[in-house]
Amino acid sequence: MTSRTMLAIAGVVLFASGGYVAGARRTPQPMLEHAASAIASLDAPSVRSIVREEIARAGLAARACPSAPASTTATVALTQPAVDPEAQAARDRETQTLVARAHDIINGALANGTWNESDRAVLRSIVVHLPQAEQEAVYSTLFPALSDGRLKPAFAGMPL
Amino acid sequence: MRRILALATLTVSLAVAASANAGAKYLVFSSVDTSAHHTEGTFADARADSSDKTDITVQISAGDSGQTALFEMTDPTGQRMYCWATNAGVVQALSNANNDSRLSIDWDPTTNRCTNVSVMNDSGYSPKQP
Repeated sequence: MTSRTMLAIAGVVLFASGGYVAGARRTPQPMLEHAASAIASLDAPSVRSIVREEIARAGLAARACPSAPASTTATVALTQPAVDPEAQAARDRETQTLVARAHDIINGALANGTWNESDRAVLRSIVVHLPQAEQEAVYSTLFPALSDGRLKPAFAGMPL
Repeated sequence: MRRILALATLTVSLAVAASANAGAKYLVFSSVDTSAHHTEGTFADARADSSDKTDITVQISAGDSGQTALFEMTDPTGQRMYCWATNAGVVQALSNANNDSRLSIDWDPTTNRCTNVSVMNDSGYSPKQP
C-alpha cells in the first residue's frame, strides 16, 4: 500500500467520523426549537389533557409491572377507587372484636395462672385473622407472662 | 506374615479413627440469663444434656398478615424464656436454624420480642444425636 493510498483512506475515515459526530451534535437543535415552539402554542386545557394522558399511561405501566418505582406506584394509588368506608368500618369492628376476645382469653388464663391447650387452640385461630400490629400486641401480653411464670403451660410444646 | 498384616490393619484403623475425631470441638450448654435478657445453646447439646428439662424450639408460622417466629429455650435448671418476632430479617435468621445450629438470642424484657438473633453453624459444634 502506498503512502498516498493510506493517506486517502485516513482522509475518508476522518471525514466520515467527523460527519457522524457533527451530525449527532447538531440533531437536538431542531428538536429543541420544535419543542419550544410547541410548548409556546399550548393553552391550559391542552396542558391538563396531556397531564391526564400521562398519568393514565403511567398507571397502566405500573399495573403491568408491579416492581415499578415508588413514584409510579403512587400515581396508581391516586387513580384507584377509594375504599368503601362502610366495608372498612365493618372490618375494623371485626378486628376490635377479635382483639378483645384474644385479650379475654389471656386475662382469663392469667386469673388461673395456667395456659391450656384449649387456650392455645382458640388464640391461634384468632391471631391468624389479626393485622400485624394487633398480633404483636397479643404476643407482647402473652409471652412475658409465660416467661416470668405468671402463666404456666399445662401441656408440652409451643404455647401458640 | 499374619502378624505383619494384623499390625498394618491396626495401624490403619487407628489412623482413620484419629482423623475422624480431629478438629476443634465446642460444647455449648443451654443457658437462659433473665437479667441480661440473653439466651444461648445448640440443638445438639440440648438433646444430649443429662437434664430432661433442657429444650430449644423454633417455630415459624406464615399467614395473611405475614410471618411470625416463636422461640423457646429452657436451660437445665428449668429456667425458660419465650420470644417472638415479626421482623422479616429476624424471622429469616431463625428460619435458617438447623439441627446442628447454635442460637444466640437477646430479647426485650417488656414485650419479649426477639431483638437480636444469631444463628451459627460451626464444624466444632456437636452433631445431631438420635
